[in-house]
Amino acid sequence: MRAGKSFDIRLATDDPGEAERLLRRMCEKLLANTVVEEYAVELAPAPAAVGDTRP
Amino acid sequence: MKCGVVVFPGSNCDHDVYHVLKHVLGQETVFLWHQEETVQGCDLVVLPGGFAYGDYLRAGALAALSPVMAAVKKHAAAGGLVLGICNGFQVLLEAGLLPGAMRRNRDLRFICRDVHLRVERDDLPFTRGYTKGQVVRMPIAHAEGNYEDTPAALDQLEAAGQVVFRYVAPDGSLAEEWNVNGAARAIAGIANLRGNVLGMMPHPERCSEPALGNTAGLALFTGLVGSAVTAEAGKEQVTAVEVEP
Repeated sequence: MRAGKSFDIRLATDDPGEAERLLRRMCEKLLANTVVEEYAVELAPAPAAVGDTRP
Repeated sequence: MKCGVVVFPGSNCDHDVYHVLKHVLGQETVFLWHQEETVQGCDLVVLPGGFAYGDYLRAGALAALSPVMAAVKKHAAAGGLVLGICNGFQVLLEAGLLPGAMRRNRDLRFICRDVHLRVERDDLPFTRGYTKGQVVRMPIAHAEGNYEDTPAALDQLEAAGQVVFRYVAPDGSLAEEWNVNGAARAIAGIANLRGNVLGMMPHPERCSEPALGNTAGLALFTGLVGSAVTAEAGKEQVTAVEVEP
């Protein structure tokens, strides 16, 4: 068992299909090395309150 | 022979490779900055050791997407020589120029020491200065040199004769305790199918001068220079044949 990495990524879209397509492309192209790593994508509405320091 | 040494932000063996090619072997040598979009007509491109782009995310992952790597891919596709040493090997894997991937060393530590390597092929431009089965001692210095791929891919690699260097005991035998980083099949270096791209974890540029106490790496560079001379001679011969009638 080897623990990998987890990324919280905020996207400028609220279309779940578009979001998943973008995230999978990011994983395939850079975030995961699919020779030795697997990846999974989970979608959630962007939290507006906790930790959000944007104006 | 025109040689290019790629410089990524974080490369730290670039000057060592440059020194061997330019000053020890007297070859025309240039540095290729990571933002270059061509390899400037070089016959040989070397990706040196270091920590390209800080090795953020994974070793070599970000460097693999740099502009110069697009040029290196074109150079390799045209049959040009590419040598990746240590971090350069990791970049070649991430760029897809060689198969497989690197994991952290078996004991999760950075290892800096000499290792014994068995030369598995002597018919490549990179290894023509050695003989098959020869054992050479070279330094390694890395944290992620634990080569990995699927069993099927490893079998394919072996069957195609793409394994070029293996970690072995001083007598040339395979032994788990001499496979210092735990690499699959004790793989220390591999080539592509065509034989013009080589990636290796050990550092031949750190053992290419008598002053360094070890010259085991010099034959790799002299072999490359010699192969370019042979190719030039071949070209002249072809021209002569064409002109004769």
